[in-house]
Amino acid sequence: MLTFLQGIFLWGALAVAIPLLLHLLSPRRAVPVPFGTLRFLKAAQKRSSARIRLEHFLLWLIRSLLILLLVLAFALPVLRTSDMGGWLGRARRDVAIVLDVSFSMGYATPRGQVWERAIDAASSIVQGLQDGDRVCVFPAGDGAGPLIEMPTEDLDLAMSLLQELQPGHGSSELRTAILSARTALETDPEREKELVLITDGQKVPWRTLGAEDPSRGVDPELKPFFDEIALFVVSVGSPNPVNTYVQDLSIDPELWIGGKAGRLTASVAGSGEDRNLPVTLSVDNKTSGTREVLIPAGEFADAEILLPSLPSGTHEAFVEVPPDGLAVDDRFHFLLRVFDRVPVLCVGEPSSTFFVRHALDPGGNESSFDVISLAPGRLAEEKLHRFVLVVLCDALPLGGQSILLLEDYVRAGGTLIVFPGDRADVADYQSFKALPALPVRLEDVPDEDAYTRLVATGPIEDFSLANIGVSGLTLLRNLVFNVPVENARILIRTRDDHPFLLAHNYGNGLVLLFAVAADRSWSDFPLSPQFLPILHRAVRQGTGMSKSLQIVEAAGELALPPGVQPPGDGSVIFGPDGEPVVVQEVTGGSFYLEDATRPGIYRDGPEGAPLLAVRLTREESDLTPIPVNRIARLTGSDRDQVVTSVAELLKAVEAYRIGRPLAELFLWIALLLAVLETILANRMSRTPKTLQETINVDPAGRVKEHA
Amino acid sequence: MSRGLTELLTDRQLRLLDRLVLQSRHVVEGSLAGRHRSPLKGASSEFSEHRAYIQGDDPRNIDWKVLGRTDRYYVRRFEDETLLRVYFVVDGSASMGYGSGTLTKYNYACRLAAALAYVTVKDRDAVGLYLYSSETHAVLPAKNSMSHLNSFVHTLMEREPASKTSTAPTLHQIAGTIRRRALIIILSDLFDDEGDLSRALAHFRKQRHDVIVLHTLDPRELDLEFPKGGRFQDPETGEEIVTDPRAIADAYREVFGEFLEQQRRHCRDLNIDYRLVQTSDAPEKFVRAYLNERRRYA
Repeated sequence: MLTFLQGIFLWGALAVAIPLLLHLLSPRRAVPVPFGTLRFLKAAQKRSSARIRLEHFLLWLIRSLLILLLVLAFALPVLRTSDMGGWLGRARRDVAIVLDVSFSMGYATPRGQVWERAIDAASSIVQGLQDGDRVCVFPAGDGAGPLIEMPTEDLDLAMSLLQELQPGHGSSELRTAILSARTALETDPEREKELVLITDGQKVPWRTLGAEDPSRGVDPELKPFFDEIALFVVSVGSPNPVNTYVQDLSIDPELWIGGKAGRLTASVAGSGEDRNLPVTLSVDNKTSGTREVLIPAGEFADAEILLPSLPSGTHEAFVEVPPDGLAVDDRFHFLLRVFDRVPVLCVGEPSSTFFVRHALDPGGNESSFDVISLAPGRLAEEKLHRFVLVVLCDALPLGGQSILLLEDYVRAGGTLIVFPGDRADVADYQSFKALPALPVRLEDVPDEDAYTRLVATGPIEDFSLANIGVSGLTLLRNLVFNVPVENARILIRTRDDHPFLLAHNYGNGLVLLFAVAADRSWSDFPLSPQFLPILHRAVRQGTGMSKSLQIVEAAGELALPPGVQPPGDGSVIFGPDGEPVVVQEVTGGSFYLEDATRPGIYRDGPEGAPLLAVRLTREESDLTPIPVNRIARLTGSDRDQVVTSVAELLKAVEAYRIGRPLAELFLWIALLLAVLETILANRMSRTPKTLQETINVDPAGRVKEHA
Repeated sequence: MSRGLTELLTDRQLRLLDRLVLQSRHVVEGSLAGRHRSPLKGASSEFSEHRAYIQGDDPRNIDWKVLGRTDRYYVRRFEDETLLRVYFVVDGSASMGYGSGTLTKYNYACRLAAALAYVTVKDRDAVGLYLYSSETHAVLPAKNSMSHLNSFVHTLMEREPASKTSTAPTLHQIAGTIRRRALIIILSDLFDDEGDLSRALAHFRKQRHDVIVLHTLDPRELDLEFPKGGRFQDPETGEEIVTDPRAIADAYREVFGEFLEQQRRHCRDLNIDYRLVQTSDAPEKFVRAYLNERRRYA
């Protein structure tokens, strides 16, 4: 809508009529001008009348437009991008500010931190509000709650809260914050509504709004809201951010025994240009190794660093890249748990566990396994989390509590191997939900079919029977199973195509179920050459859940992993900066931290033993920017309302609230018209070429050919 | 020097004209010792032959001796030396009364005519005059005396340019009047129908006259140099139009240029000597340049 701030000047438009009036009212020349003959004047007039009329009309038109534009410019026209509350009153407004508080906002540029510019933008918005306007602020980040939940007129409070606000250690949660802002702005339908989104221009926060799908437009749930309000988006980040970070780690062997060397592989990613950088590993605050790696822009590269031989115990470690604009993700903290011996729990009567125990721990001090035997009845008393592997050897039937414990143990990452036995009926297996399949019957094999060959049918994830020779064995009795549960696999079959060994990933752990007992009562499997390798492979699979490498992702409320126990009083542990972190216990003996958002090592005392390594969410480290046009598409905004600086934001807001002034534009057009008028008027009044200049007459009156 | 001539030409101008002669390009009739050839045998100092007298012959040419001998009337015929008759046909219409400077076209034409007549008479050739507008207002026969020249000038000066132009019909009439070949000098702005004018000029040529057209114009009629627009009036019709000469200058130049070119082309096609004269040029300057050129080509 076009409005005028000084409308009284519009009366000046009447001046457009002055040239016309002067022309109409001016008296004709009283004195006629004699001439030789009118014959040629009339002919010339007729020949050029159309052109003369057009020229005069154009001149009149240009002059009229010139006057009109000057008048309009004086009247100070503004183009409003939205309707005003009324000519005589100013509509009051509610403004919601959604501010990205992810850790990427801490990116430092030569012009200062992105976060400072974000606070500057938010403060400018608040300062630009007038009496009666209200503001609410919603930080967009993991677990971040509203700063000012409902619109308030207390702008001083808003300013002070903004100044105290700091970016978090989590990722952005734009969508959640926008929804909260929507709720706040809907409280008063009579007010004008504005929403200001302040981010660093990173693509990550927009994924929840559909940034990954190029064909996606405005979120259907948010579209009615965006259509109703004035939306401004400001990206205060660097247009070409450069950041390198360790994306992930793995170690080999996954279960690390003390006194042996290993290998660490760090997956390093970067945004920005291709870079050659050193990646450094430090263990127990000593540099262990450095590897140069070329990181292509937008991709990742692996850096392999040898792990030194370490004594058993928990070791603090980190992988580090050189400092860059975003320092908070330059270090990747983790804990290395080095085992003296792998703790394995064998549950069953001694006769049932005999072969398993001796396969894992033949005796002496050579074995890597520390095998503990336990009677089935005492299973409920045991803390299973300290065992890498639990083997049930004819241990069923078990009480409900024991089964629940076993299921929790597997879900948390443990490995369970189940050997059936004579003690249990088929029905005793039914309540065990973690099993890859439920047996339907116990079958005695006829003598003539006793001998069978085993056939390996393929890996399940990392469990592979490669390099294990699978030969024949004598079966006397075995479980027959129904259809395996979803995601379960048959790893070994008999010649008759009956499952011999099944596997099932349950939660974070693994359950392996044999069709035969662990002793010789059902088969000669324990005496077969494949018994030991299969068992050891199963153990390795069970421990291949990175138990030596301990990392958890930062979170507002973080459940302590199995095996991580708070100190004696259980009420606090200490974060990376030595600050206390409250530990809450939930039913069942689980614990969670109230605030584990800071990356680093959490300890059981201010200088205590390490308990937990927390890392930042790696997704947030990807600073790849999102194009401005894409933002406009995702929000349904005009391109002018998606800006990249505080100055542009204020200009866009002003243009919306007050209007875009057009006086300068009108004056430029008037200048152009003035130039045009001068050219046209000069052309019309130019001294034309005369006949004497074109014909050549000599002194004797002879006319030569025309020049 | 005659009082009438000096009213149009100064002594200085006359002195400049003293050495000039007007020669005919074509063979014309007339009598003058030694210069203009004529095909006709008439009153000459050299006797050629006798011819029987017919009614209308000049009695002075009757050979009385032959009459005494034969009782029959015979006239004497002469050869070679002839008198050039120059007839000035001057346009005295209202359009000729226009002048942007000190001289109107008519005044300028009168000066030209006087200068050329002076040269003619000085050379003992005869000058005649036809003064016209919509009709012939004055006729002077061709004579070669100074007193006749004064009458010539006087007749011109008496006339005030007025009434409409009717050049073509008047020229036809004049052409019908001049029987014997002569040099015809037409002084006019030629603001008449080009076709009619061309036919009238052709009439002169058909009668084998040597014709000179002095197209007399005012510089403003060529240049249309007016500082601003105005209400222009036609002196012959009284018609008026309002126009801005600056706006129509290009078109006027085209139209007037076409008019000039047409006149020039018609004259060229009829072997008529066409000259464009402007009232801003000194009359004696033009006469001198023109006669010198004419003498070179004669």
